[in-house]
Amino acid sequence: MVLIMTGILNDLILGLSVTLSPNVLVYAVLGCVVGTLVGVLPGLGPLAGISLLLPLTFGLSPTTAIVLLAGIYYGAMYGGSTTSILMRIPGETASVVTCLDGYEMARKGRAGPALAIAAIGSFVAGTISVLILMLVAPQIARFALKFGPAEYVGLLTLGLLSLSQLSSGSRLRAMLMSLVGLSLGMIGIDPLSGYARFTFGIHELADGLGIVPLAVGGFGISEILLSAGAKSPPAVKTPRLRELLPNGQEARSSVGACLRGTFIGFAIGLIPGSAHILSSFVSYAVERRVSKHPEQFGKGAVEGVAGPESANNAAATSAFVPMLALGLPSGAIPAVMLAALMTHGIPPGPKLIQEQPHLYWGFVASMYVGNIVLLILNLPLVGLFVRVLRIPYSILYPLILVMCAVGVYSVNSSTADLWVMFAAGGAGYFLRRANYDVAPAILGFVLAPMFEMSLRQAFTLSSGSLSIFIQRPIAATMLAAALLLILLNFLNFFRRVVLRQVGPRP
Amino acid sequence: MMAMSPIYARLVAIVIATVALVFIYGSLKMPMGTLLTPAAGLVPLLLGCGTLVLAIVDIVSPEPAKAEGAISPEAEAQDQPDESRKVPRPLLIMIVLGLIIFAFERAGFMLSLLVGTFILLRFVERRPLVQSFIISLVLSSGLYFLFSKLLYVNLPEGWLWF
Repeated sequence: MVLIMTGILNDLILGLSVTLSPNVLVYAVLGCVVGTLVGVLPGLGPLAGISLLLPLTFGLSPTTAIVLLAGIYYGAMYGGSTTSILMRIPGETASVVTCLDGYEMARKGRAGPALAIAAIGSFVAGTISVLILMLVAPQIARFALKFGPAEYVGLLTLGLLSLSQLSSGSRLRAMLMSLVGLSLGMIGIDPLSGYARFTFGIHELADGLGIVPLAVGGFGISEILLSAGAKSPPAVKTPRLRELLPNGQEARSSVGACLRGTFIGFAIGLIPGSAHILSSFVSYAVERRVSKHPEQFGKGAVEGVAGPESANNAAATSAFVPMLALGLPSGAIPAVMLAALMTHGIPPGPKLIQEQPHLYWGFVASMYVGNIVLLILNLPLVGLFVRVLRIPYSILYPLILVMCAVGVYSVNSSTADLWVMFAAGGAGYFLRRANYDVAPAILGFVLAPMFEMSLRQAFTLSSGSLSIFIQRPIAATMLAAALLLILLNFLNFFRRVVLRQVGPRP
Repeated sequence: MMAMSPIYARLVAIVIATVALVFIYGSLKMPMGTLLTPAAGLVPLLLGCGTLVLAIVDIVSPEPAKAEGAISPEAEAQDQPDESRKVPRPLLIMIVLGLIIFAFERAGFMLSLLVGTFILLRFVERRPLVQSFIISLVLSSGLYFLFSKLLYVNLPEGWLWF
């Protein structure tokens, strides 16, 4: 145990030496600032923000790129609470719950303490979660080294199906979108045989579709199209620095909620799907249940701000555990970040921690640094971030739109990528308007090469027999769980459609 | 965001099913191999079939209830302030984006971005003429400087040589 702790401490020192080097630190701070802005702006969530800024990271080293993107991610988590509390406009989906009590606190003149509790709760949750991530991820990665192709088929199948179960809309449509994403991943030259698949003679498609144009189009452009014409929010009075301190009662009430939110968020963050959103709702429900004054919830309860804000930040951190330890992103945001690593030539998987210690530990250390930067930035600069909201959306979106186009072009200097972005943007717009979630498609697309390779390798290893998926216990367990999920969905569908048509018995 | 009516959602599912059929047809033209040595077409065929089945199930199943926290029709209506315009704004934005992409390598980086942003601001968003021009000029030259001089991206040269 002592040896493990010493090893981790040494690795962390290595990580800090990477993160605290000026060129990485600058990008960590930049990521936090941009992320906070992304979180503050309603409609532009962390996913769209990361997708939009992804092309800008290709000129950077892999470590700097991942540190910048991670900064945007948890910066957005911090920033999302600001507009929720001050204006009842959630900057991003995970902050919806914060509106309930945060805005009520603001109406009672306690906007400052609400913002401070949200920021401190996020800081505490972020720091504790990084500590757990640091201890857990290498152990999971060590275990995952035993995984063969059959286990990966099981893991990927279960991962994609679980994501569909937790999708905000229809499960059937989420599964459908996962398959669409996997199918899109088949475009290009088959790596084993060299056969060109679905390229239609277009040589730009030989390398397959790029994740950057797909993500920027599917999330970024579609978001712009959906938000076009939206009104700018009204001006708001922001609290001064000295008005931020919570009183003794508020501080005492928030401690337990922060800690509970942290552990709830971390556990839920490990589950595939929109865990950071789910975690804030679960935390709110738990806080309400354990509170001695549940009637205060919705009327400005401090725990209603501290719990969910801690939970969504903890979930944002633990979502990186499967990504770093297994190479399996648990949601669309880690998927886009994983794609960024792959574009830099870093193969994802359990060997990442061993083979890229600078990157892994630099990334972990950047989370500590990022949490401190966000705490320092968020509270004094809250007024500045809110002022950004006054820029009319009609000016902001042309700026974002052309930045998308230039960013995508800069990856390969190819207009073909721009047309892919254009098509993905149009498709994403129609799909989202018809209540189809685009995130499973992007996740499916990122996982497609790994899924296909593992499936084909498993068949070759087993001499073409399906028994490999039954004989290997880990693979069998995961595939059985996946099968159970499909069965449950089928029963649900049967109950919903068939029984509704038959009608109740007299 | 304004949600589409169930008929549009079904139309989207029909389009997905059609694309899946094309995907299956394309897969069948590829070498399949055997289960021992699966070739290029096997996995795409399986995925195409799966997509087709789920798309058909989606077409025949009733429209799912709106998720918790979904936007009410009233709020949706408030978010769409300018319904009087004849051409929908998203379509106009896509047309301008298409024009920018088309002109990108032909007219060059600066000119395509300058004109594209100006059209968006002046004609789609109906911002004042001078303001639209200044924002477009600052934006396109700022991005040119950022990508070309700081990030060393090889940007397309057109009629204006930048």
